[in-house]
Amino acid sequence: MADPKKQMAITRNFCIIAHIDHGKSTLADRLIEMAGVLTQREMQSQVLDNMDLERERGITIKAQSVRLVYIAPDGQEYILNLIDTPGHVDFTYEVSRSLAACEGALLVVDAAQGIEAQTLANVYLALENNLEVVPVINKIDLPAADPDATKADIENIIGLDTEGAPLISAKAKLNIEQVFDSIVKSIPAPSGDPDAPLKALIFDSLYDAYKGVIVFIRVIDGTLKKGTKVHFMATNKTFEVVEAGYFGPGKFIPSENLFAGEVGYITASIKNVSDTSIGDTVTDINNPTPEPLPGYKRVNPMVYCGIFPQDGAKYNDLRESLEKLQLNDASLQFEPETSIALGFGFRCGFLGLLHLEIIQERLEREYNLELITTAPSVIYKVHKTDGTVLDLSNPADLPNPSHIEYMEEPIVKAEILLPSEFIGAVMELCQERRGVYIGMEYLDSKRATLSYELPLNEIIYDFFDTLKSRSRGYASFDYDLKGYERSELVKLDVLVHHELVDALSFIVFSKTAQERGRKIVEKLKKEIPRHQFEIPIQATIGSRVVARETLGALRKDVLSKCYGGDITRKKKLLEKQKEGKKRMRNIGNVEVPQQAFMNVLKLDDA
Amino acid sequence: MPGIYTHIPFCVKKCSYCDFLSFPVEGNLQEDYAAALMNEISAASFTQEIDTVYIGGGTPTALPPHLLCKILNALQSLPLQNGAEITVEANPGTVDKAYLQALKAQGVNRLSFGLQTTHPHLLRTISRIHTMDDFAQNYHAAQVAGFDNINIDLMFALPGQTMAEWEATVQAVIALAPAHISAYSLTPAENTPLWAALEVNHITLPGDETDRQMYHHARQALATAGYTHYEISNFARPGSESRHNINCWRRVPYIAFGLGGHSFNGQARWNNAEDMATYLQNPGQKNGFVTISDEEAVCESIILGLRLTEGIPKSLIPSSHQPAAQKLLVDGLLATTGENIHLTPRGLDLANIVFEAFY
Repeated sequence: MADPKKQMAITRNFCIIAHIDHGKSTLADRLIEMAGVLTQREMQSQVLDNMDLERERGITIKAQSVRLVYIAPDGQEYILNLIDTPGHVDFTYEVSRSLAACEGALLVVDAAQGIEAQTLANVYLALENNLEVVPVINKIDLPAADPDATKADIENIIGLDTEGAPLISAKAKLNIEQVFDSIVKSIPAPSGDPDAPLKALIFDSLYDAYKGVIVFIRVIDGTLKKGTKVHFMATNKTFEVVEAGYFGPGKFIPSENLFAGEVGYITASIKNVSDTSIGDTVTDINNPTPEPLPGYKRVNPMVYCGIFPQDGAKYNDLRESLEKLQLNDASLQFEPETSIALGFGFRCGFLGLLHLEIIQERLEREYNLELITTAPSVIYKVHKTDGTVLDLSNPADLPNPSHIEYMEEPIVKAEILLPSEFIGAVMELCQERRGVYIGMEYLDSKRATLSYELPLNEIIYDFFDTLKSRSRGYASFDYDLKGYERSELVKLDVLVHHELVDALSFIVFSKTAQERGRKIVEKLKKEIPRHQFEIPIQATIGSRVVARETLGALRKDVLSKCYGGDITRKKKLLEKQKEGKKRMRNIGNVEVPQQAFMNVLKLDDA
Repeated sequence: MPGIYTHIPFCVKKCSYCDFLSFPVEGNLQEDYAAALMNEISAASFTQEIDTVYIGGGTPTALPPHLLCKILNALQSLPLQNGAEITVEANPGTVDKAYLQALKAQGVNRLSFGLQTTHPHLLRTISRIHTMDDFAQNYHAAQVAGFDNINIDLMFALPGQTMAEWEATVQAVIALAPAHISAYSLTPAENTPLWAALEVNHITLPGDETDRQMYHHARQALATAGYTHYEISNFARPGSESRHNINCWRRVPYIAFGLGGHSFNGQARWNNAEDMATYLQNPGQKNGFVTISDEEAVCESIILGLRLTEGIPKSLIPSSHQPAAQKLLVDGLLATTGENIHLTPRGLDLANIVFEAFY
């Protein structure tokens, strides 16, 4: 049996911090390849990102990790645990827990592009977790590469010493050995007491149909093996370990023990992903640690929306698909919802907008479902006159205004990193979105970070796209929930021919309600076909109409020619019309095409 | 008794709104086509007498007179009923006195002129080749040749057309006192130059509001002038209704000769080849043979019959569609007169809603 202390001395636990496209996956591939664990032939391109969707978007959703065996030029063997981190603003907490499992981080920066806001946010997160951050300058083979400027950038903005930073090209396999050298020399070996009571951090989990939940852990103190009765301190669940092991590239390698300082997995016939909460502490029930690890947070959805099948008959398929997705994604929540306009569906909760989009796309792509998604909503705190507080995630559930004392909405702290020439335009955007200016810092002569406090419901309303367009794609953005603040909010309803369209109701800041209402009724007018009668389309707040359009009555619907040769054609036309009717939803006696809901609910220029 | 439709797919120039099968006049194609057509006609056999013949296009009179007369000759050899209605479509500018006299001599007893509008700038917009003078001369020549059953085709809601222009057109045509007038709302079809021009907003159509004003005006003015409005787009002096077309709306069988012609024998529909080379090689080839179920037949009888203003016998509507009919009566799109159910004036404007309910 290996000596835990010796094992610890040759172990390095690290992650890679990089902006999308700056080369994280490629570098990971190179490290895996050159550590000699897999042959060239076995190498699948981009081993770490294994979901199609992730690859397409160039982002990592689910952390994957891998254990490498590296033999240094002096013959010393090292065990390198590369822990992957999800790369998006919606998953900040998950990132922080992955970081907490490491002693160091490689900061990979594209030599042609420099640092981006999201990278910065993750670097700060790493520094908060006391990680040794090792800069790596990538893509030095690009014609536009400016390694010296990039190094200066890192020194000025983050204050890291870039003296010995490896200058590499992961793609061209240039200077990768320098990265290995930096990892073993700069990143400290784990410390921890193998003889102390078991204390391990859960940083991810994965559902497997045969083994149940596979829990990804970093052992801090103690030892873990098959048969250990483990206790998950936050969820208060106890299981017996069936298997423990390491992460081989693309596979799990069982092992006798997992010692302090090691990274690996356990299985314990766990049926439910929700029993394993990221950031939770695993201990031995027979020899428990007195204190859980710091930093645990229960992650709650921040963004909600209704998801309905276009074809009502697919309701059960939708439920099954959501259940399957939830097996691997405990942060996805859903419960049945009924809409007069859209029929049966689910109210779903997500960590953020990107999470929402990913789930929606997976439902459509992997489960072949055609969906209607209602406008995203955040959770409002409704303080009622009876003293109770309602967490409102569905605008349709808003109580009668006479029962509301006041309402609060979630506010986020946003950091926007941008070239200085766009400061004016972006400040304007933030003001339009009710932002409160906190401060601005020039990183160098050309770039600055803007800090704003913004209501979350303004961010979920096409903020990203507008930010990108106003900064010609150069601004990057990161946010964190700050808390709730009292706000003047109203529910905007849409009435078609005097009937409420429940699926189109949403909560909005009172001063922008009229403008939003006007846009919606204008859009809706274009989407509803003319009927035999005139149709008023109104946006209302309570009983007050704030915007109105009138769709005129249908004047003409007749084919003026129908002779012998036209009959077959005419019949086909009628058939098509009939088919189209099936895709209509009835709002009172008005038939509204499904497409209308989708187009009106689309976030862009809504 | 079945009718016969014969298609002549040639035009001097294609109109911007036309999506019918037609070709420019060139080479020996017309001779070859006439030969194939006559083969098809002579190979056909009929067990019943034929009471209507309709030669349409394209522009039948784009053929030289001798070819069209040969075709008429071939048709005359079929078992035609005594007094059968024989119509030829003639575009202004393609006929003269001699041509018209030749047609008359071949037994043609009804002419249909595609005038469309009396305004030169509107004729240009829809790329018609004729002028108002051409039409006036042709119309006069037809009368001199002895034609007393003449139809004039009109179109309204043309790009840029004003209400006043339409009123003037209707008035001018009434002054000529033809036996029959058709008035069609211009319906842009895909894959036409008109459609393309509308897509890029080079031209715009008058809105539905104006379209209906024009239609309502025609109905009113023509009624005053003594024309019966007998089908959605057709008006006639009593007794001069198009027998051929009424047969089609009453679901009487018709057999088509020529490129892309559609036939219906009472139980099934089929069509001739739509590709010229294929047709010339094998003019008798039948395509797209579809049998009509009893249920569909009833539905067809309803939606075709309701195009006629006198409507259909109430008894024709099956019990399954009674609730739909009831709703349309309540909505004021249908009404009953005696034993018949028919479109109301509002129903004429929204006929598709009615047809859809029975489909």
